[in-house]
Amino acid sequence: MAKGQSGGQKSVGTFDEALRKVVTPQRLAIVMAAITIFLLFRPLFLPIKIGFQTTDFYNRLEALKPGDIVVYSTDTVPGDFLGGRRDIYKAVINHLIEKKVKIIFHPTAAGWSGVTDTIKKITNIGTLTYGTDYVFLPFVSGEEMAWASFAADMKGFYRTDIYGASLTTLPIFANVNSMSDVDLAVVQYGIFTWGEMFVRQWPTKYGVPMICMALFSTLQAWYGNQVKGNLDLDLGFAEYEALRKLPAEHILRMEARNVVSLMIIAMIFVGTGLYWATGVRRGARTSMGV
Amino acid sequence: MELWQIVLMFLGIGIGIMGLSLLWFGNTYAFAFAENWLIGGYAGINLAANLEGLNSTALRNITSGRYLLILPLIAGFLVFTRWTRFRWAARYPVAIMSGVGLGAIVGLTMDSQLISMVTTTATELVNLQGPKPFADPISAIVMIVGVITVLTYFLYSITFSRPFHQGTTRWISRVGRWFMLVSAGYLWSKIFLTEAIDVTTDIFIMWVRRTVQEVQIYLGMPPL
Repeated sequence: MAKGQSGGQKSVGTFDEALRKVVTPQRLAIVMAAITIFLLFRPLFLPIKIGFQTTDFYNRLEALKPGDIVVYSTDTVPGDFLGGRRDIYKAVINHLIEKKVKIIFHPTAAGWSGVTDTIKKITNIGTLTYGTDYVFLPFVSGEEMAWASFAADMKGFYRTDIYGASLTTLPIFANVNSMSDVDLAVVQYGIFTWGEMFVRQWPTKYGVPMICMALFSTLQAWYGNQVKGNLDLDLGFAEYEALRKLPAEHILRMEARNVVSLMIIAMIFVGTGLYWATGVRRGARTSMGV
Repeated sequence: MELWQIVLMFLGIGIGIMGLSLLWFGNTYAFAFAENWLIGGYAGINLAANLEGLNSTALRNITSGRYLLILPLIAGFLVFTRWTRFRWAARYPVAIMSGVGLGAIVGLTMDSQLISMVTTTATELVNLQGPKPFADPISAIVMIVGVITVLTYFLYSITFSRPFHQGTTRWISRVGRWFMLVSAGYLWSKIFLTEAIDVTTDIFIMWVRRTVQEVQIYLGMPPL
């Protein structure tokens, strides 16, 4: 207790100190972990409202016709594809397969070579014919310059697929030369600055509609114009799974996230209330020293 | 999963718990082991992936007859001269990449980030209607007010913009600042929610739920 505090403040200070002693970050972490784990096994099945981005994304996929050309650009590495994003990547790729479109997989991460076998294993792509219905392109460094060159002249830029086969021999590329021949670009990225790069090089230049799986804040400036739909990470993934009636891990994640977020907001209110009520505003420190 | 995969899975969980031990026990040998394991693992995977990238994009093409690709390959390797007394040569690949980058970006940036946005804003102003689902007049007005006031905030000319920063109309730039603060707050909270909580949830999905599921499947037990 600080020196010079009155009797009333003394009791409040004691309460404050006791609270700090009981509610430690470590204990809070354990409580939140317990709640999260419980919800992952016993979900509450809270209602999910489908947002406009997810609806747009879904409608764009639904509007595809058999034989349409889709470029699926992804920065996944093996850990991603088997990790937290497994279910959504699987669902979107299977959706494309259901629509009987032709898929050009365009990688933007160096670890791509380890992903192709996983895609074959966990999606329904085995029902399609390689080279005719889908193709795996190799990773090329260079980011925006590489994507621009790819969009301008696909066969000239890559020459071969990931297995070394010439693109000119693959039936899927019979009538596809540039991004102008593509009906839809499905773009997934994790680096925030990549959104504007894709927007510049693909939809702005070639007019190809682009839908994304990325943080909305990184592409909201172009939404409605160049960007026609988006899955806003876990929120969007959960909405998409709900919309497709394919319950998977992201719905569980959303439930855990909602409850934990509510707890955080509640703690902010409680903490702010105590902060003002106890009068220990100056010099207050948590047990972590901040 | 095979038995060896189950064993590897539990090994991974053990290393993960070592990493999380930082929260309770600080920087111990267990945490340092997990940290170095992770960094070393990533370095190894990325090295292999980059070598494969070099092979698939350069070496394989060169050996199949695209000899001109030797030039960018050499330009790329010039970056490593920074470690030698010929470090001046490292400027060439940087200059090439900057030049090509500017050429590929500038024109399209004007289109996507300036002309397109000005056109959209002007259209919203005329029609008093934003894009769906913000197709109401209020959203369009808020958008236009935000664009104008934020632009005013960034007027730094002493001659022409002083009234907007110090004069009677300084409220305009203040409103612009509020718009920016609101958007920054939204962005921060959004990224906090998506990144921090999702990472935490990810850990429990990967370590706990999937582990339990895989063990149940391996042992032939009914789902929990």
